[in-house]
Amino acid sequence: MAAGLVVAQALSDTLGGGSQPDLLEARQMQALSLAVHIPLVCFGIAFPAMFLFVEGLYLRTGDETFKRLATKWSKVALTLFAVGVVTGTILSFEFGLLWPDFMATFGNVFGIAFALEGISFFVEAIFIAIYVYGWQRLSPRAHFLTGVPVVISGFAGSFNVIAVNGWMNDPQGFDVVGGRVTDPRPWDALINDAMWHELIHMYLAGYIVAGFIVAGVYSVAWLRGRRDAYVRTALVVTLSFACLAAPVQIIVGDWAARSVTERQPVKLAAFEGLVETEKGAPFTIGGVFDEDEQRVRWGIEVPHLLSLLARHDPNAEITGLESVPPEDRPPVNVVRFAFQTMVAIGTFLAMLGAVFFVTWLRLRRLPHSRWFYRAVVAAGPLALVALIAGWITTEVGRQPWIVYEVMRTEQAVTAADGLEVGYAALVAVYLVLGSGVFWMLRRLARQG
Amino acid sequence: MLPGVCLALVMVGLTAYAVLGSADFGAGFWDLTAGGDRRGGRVRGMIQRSMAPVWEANHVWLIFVLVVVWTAFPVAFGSIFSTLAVPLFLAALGIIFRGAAFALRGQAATIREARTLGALFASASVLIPFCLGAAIGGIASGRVPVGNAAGDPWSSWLNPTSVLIGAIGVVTGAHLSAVFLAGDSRRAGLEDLVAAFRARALGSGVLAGVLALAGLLVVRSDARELFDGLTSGAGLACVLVSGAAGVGTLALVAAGRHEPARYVAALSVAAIVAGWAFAQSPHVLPPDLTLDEAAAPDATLAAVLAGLGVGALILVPSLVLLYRLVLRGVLDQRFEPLDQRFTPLDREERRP
Amino acid sequence: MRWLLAAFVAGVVLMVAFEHVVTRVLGLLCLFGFIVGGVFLIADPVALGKQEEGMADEPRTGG
Repeated sequence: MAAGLVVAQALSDTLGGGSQPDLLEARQMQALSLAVHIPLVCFGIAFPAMFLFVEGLYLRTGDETFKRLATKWSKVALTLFAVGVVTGTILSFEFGLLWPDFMATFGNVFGIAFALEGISFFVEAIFIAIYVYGWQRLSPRAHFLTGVPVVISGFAGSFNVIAVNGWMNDPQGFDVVGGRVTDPRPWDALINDAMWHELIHMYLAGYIVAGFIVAGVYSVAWLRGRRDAYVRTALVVTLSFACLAAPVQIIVGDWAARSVTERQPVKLAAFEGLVETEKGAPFTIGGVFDEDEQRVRWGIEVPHLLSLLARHDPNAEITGLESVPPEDRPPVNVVRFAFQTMVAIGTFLAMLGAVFFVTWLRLRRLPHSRWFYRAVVAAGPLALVALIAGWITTEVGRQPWIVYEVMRTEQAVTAADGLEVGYAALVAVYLVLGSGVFWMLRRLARQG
Repeated sequence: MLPGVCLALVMVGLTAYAVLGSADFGAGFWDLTAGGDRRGGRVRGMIQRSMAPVWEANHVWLIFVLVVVWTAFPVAFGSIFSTLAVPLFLAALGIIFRGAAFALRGQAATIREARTLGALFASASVLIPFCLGAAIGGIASGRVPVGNAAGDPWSSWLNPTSVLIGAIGVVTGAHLSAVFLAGDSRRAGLEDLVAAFRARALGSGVLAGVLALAGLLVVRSDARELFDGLTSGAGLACVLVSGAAGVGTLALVAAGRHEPARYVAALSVAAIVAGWAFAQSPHVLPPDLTLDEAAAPDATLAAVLAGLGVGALILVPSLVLLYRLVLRGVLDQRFEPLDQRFTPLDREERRP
Repeated sequence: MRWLLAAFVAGVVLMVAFEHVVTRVLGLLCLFGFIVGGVFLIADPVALGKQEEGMADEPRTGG
């Protein structure tokens, strides 16, 4: 959450301000709320699968340890879900409060996706309540079955929301006639080409973030000497999910990058800071993009690497930032930094995953090295940073557009005054909420 | 036809939220006034027990309403959220606080921590229905023009009609909550609590009725068209039904018939929400925007209805399942008196 | 175990070397199969139980 704040601030500083001062506040408020909500979504996506899996272990063996673990996890999931409902409600309000013209113009094109998301969300709320409050009250098999809709609706909810984000990057399903949006075709808009890689990438991210965060909690216990079955089971389950998903995520990321190369070449150019269109474009690791000189300084340039990554051909032509006028380019430094942060952390997590997997292959057990567990403890927060960095990459990379090449973000913003007050209030509220949740989770963790 | 169906869906969602969500908000009010440890402990215990299983499900209705409005009536949505940004933003903050306080309540380790959370919980529970009610008042009294923040940011919701509807929202919420809690207490066999909530239900019900009558007078001078809408035709019919149901609820509660009282109370709310829609008809944003003008093209409306229709096939049985389990007591947690930390009174000594 | 690794490798090849919808779907299926199969294989209750014996014998390694 703090990471989100820091990045949101960096975002606003480098953006250099839109023509209306309120645009900046609006973007920051939206970024902040998203940074708070998305980590909770990860738990909504992945945690139910994990506790359901553990309950499955209980049903297969009758071992009470598994049941205790599943019960504990489901209660934590319920609290996180409740906080997620609250933050999600805020996002819904913010769509209207901050971007009334976006909603008024395009609500009838993409709105249906949110109606479906609302339904899946509602179903998830119902069944997670039945699941958590129904332990001991329902037959074991019935109880297990009530967990299944929770897992499915976690996927369905992300499907629908990502569909909208995909649409924002790849708009379709409407016409623009005389400056007005006409003939909305909601189903065409919903199932668009950009959403698939986004969806898989986010879905896996859910497992990686939730898995490593929870594994991190139990790794602390491990490092303190607790080696009982309860801790071991928790570690094995969460690490299995996260460590196997992490390398796959790299492959999906490759797919995503290639998709962006085709559909949003200027966004890709910002990933690197590539100014001129060229064949055999390099990838510069690190460094800072100098706006005045229009080049990256102090980085390590690896020749042909960008062409290789983006098109799998070391001599492929990559479009540069110059292909569009300056007012159509995203802020390069924010996008570059976020992208490279995400990739660096993602690579680290994949390597950590490989260590876990190889240890299991050869020794059929958890690693014993204290360094492994220290790395896992770090992996949770790092995965969170990568998650937010990834969202910043794609959202800021889409600027100045809110609907790619159709509507600019500054056209969408509210004309209402005084957003600074709202922003300050929101920051304060999130700080209070964030500390409250953190404090509560620490207590729950201490109780085992 | 399609716009009318979509509007009806919005009204259904609003009613569901008003009935179920209000019950939750009202609970926050009773929690605040429950009193100290021993005296208030049993009241608090009942509140916690009733709210827990259905809490999130209750609040999803609000999102449902927002989503259908922004899909089917996007221009109205944009206008409402830009002009009424202040009360809606306050309501949003209240929602954050309320949710957080409720979720974190059980983890408070000291009385001071719990008192802070409790105060947050209760104040948000008053702020939210007031702000949402005031926003509705702003729409109903014709103070929200079409456009991006075209109306006045303050007088659109701080005006006699809005303030009154906001107040009615708070009191009605408290009333509904007391009615529901009386019924829950009866099911749990806790007769002392039945009496406690019954008294609260009657008191708040009478107050709500007085406010409603005063309300009509206020609306008559502040928003004449709205008054005319509420006192003629379908609007009048709804107002009369709502009033009758309100009186009926009081009678049933006084007679100790708490299960029927729930439904009659819900009917009263449903009737007044419908009455509002009829009173404004044919406008979505009086005086300028009619339903047909505000509605999205048919392709979208059809998609919304189709999508929700399919969704309902999954959702309705799920909701039925949840409420069946709740009402049959399958999901009931053990009732235990709770102190202001929302921790069980008799377990105090054992806490680390 | 062998099948798992094969699924991973097949998935990578299908995803990286080709650009068609069909290879994409197949590749993803292989990769998801790798994850799901892996979780079931690794977090197996029998294996988890055996861990106990393994742990009891192992000296506590430092650093």
